[in-house]
Amino acid sequence: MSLGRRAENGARGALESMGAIADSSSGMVEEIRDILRPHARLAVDVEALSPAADLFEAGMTSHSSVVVMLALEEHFDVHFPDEMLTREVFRSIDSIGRAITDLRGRAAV
Amino acid sequence: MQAQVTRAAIGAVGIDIVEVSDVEDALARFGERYVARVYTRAELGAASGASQGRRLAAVAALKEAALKALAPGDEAADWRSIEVETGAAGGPRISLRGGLAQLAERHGILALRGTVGLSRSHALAVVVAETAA
Repeated sequence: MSLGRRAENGARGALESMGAIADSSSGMVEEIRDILRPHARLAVDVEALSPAADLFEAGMTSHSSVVVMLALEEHFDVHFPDEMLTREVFRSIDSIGRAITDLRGRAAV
Repeated sequence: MQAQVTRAAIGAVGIDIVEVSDVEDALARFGERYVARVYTRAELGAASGASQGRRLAAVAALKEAALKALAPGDEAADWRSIEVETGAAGGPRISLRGGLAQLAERHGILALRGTVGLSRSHALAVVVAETAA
C-alpha cells in the first residue's frame, strides 16, 4: 500500500471513529430509508429526500418518530436511551445514522 | 372574608393531531414496546377496552400538544414524563414529572390546560401553558 493510500485510510479511520462517515454510508442510508418508508408517514417520497433533509418538515410527526425509533431499535439491534429522544436525533437520515453509529459504538465497548 | 384569587395568564399554546390508525398500527406492530415508551400505567389502565386505539390517540395528541407548549428545544423529552388523565371532570388533567416538570418551573408555567376532540379517525388536542399574570 502506498504512503498516500495509507494516510488516506488513516484519516478515514479517524473520521469513522468519530461517527462522521459511517452514518452516511450508502448502505446505512438505504436501510434507514427502508425503515422510514412504512413508519415515518412522510408527505413526500422518501427516495426524493437527501440524507440531510429535515424529516419533520417532510411530514414526520412526533408520534411517527417514536414508531421509527422502535423500528430502528429492532432492525439495528440497539436501544435508544431516554437522553437521545430529541428532535435533533430524528431530524434527518444523517442524524439518525450518526445516532445508530454512536449506539453501536457504545455497545461494542 | 375576601376570597383569594390567583391570576394566571396564557403563555405558550401547543396543538397536535394524531391519526387513530397510526396508534392502532403501532399497537399491532410493536405492542408492549410501543406502549412502554409512550404511555404511563395509569393512561393504559384508563384506555383499556375496545376503543383503546382511539383513547390512546387522544392521550398521544394531548402529550404532543403539551410538549409543543413546553417547547423543550433539543432537551430530551420522554413522553412518559407527561401524564394525561382524559376522564377528569372539567377536561383533561395534565401533570409533569422529571426534566419536563423542571423545565415548566424554569419557564414559570403554573399549569397546562388541555382539550381534545376525538373523531373516528383523528384526535386533535390543544394545550395552553398558564403562567402567573
